Amino acid sequence: MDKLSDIKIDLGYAKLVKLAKKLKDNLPDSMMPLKLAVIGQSTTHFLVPLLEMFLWKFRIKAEIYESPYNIAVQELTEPSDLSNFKPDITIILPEENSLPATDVSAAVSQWQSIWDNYHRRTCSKIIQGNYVLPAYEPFGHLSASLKESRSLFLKKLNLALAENLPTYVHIHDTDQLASNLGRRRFCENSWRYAAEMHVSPSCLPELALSLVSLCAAISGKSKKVLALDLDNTLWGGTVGESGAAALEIGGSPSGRAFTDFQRYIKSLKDRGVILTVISKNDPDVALEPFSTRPEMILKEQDFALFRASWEDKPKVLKEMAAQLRLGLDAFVFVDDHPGEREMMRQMIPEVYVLDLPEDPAYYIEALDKARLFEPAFITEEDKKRSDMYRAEAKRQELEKKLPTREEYLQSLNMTLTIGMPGDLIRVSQLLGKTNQFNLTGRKFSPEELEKDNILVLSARLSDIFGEQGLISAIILEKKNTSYDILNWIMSCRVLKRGVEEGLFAFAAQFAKKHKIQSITGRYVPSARNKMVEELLSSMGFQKSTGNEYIFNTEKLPTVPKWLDINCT
Amino acid sequence: MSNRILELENILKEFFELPELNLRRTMQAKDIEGWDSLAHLDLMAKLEEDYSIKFSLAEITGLNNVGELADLIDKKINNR
Repeated sequence: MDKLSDIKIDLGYAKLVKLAKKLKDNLPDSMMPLKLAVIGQSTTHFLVPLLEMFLWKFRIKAEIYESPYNIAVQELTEPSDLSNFKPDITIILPEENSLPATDVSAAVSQWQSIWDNYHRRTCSKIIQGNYVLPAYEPFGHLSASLKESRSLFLKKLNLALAENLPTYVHIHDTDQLASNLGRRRFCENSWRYAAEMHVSPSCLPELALSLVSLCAAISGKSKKVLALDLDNTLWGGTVGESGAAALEIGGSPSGRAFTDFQRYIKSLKDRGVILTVISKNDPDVALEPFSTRPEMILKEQDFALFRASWEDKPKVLKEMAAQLRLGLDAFVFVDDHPGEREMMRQMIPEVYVLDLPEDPAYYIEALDKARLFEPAFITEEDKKRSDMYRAEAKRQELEKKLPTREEYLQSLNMTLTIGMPGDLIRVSQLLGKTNQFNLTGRKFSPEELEKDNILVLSARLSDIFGEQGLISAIILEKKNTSYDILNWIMSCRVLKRGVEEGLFAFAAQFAKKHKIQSITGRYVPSARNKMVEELLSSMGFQKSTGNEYIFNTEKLPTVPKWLDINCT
Repeated sequence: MSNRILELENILKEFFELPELNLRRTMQAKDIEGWDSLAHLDLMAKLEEDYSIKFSLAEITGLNNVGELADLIDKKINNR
């Protein structure tokens, strides 16, 4: 039986294409649909099946439109089959030999006007590949400094393209990928001349996965949690057998490989990946190296959850998912033990199980190559995410200690800070990735949220355990004497703390102050938003015609007494 | 029939989904259903990977029939 976990980038182009054909008729049901357009200035025919297949790994089922390469740019600028297709995401892979300009700013403004024109017609997000520097350079080393050099021109152009990007454009660093794989290998001339293929078959899988990871990031499907084993994963040796002092961390050659792996993981954490530990050990034994070995880069407080026990790992992971309120498909499991990996694959197919090589020197490469945690943006919020999840675990402990829910809520000392509008990139991001507390399912780009007739109320929450960041937003459309709720979303991790009541009470008071008589809302059911079916009626809305609800601002709701509200 | 032709027959049967294919040295792309220019490139990429060999530009675009392809693979494997 072929499974999605059989899709491995190292299989090579031909085997992957064959596997894709086999898997295609037997895909899991619960996949996110996506319309993807691929526009290349060289042939993309061989890339498309790989894109489709790697998207399955991120639980995305894409319908793909492929543009004939010789009319690529025209398709972007004129109404065409492409604009009729209405893609969610459009990948643009340019070729340097199709680049007429030799002037950096002219080339940049050319692309900017193409993006702008295309985005206005289609609303599609854009993944813009940058230019691959040539593998051959007649100027030799002087190409690093000589202004006539093509390499230098393309380097400058790549930098300039990435500056001042509109939020709907994401740069795919194709040049970096080519450089990692080797530029001569990336584009073999036999294939270039035979078939206008500017990426060799041997490099296509890496290119496809790299593009797919960005599609996944934009679609909110990047992985969120790295669940790590300890023994022979984060350090060399078994702490329960040899004791903490004998473990290989730093110092020895393989010790250095483990510390570098820890360093890589630490930087993932610092930009928003949540770390957890699932180890088969006694808790005090598992923690010992963290306190006694200064070479440890990762500290106990870097982990949102730390579970050392003798229970089966899939069971522990499921509990972690419930505790963090994240889906199982948000998890990546890393364990040096093939048996543990196989068990995880069997028991929870949604979890991404990393194939860790035997040699710890290549752990980083395995994790990096899989491109599981690709970010579409990094906000200040992301950098604190892991700490926020750790605080959440502490909140849950506190709640267990107190006799009533209300006492718990009182003791949290919560403050809701309302931004009007607040950080629109982050609001747009939250709209994109909130599935459950999502009243209408409508998404908005930051630009759409900036429009004059749109009012955004966004809310950040903090309490004694720290900042929870942006957790809710109401998107209102202003109409004469009423507001129309275009969408209302809230992060599920702050459910049942009176936040929705507090935010709505603020919105209603604000409306009344601005002579608004009524607020209209509607519930648009989706596969996952049943939890907000009764939201509007619970806020005091009256059912009106169709699926509409109306709230009259005559009678204002009150803010829960355990919640402080301030407005920035 | 040489071993290489037999081996290619198996590869092509699967590649073009033609289980009844009876491959002969004199056969050309036009004699085999589905062997168009795109499929040809795809096949050459597959053969490069399967045999760990590299085809030159002229070899990718200039082969006349299955026999030439089989001989070329033999030659490349022997020179490896």
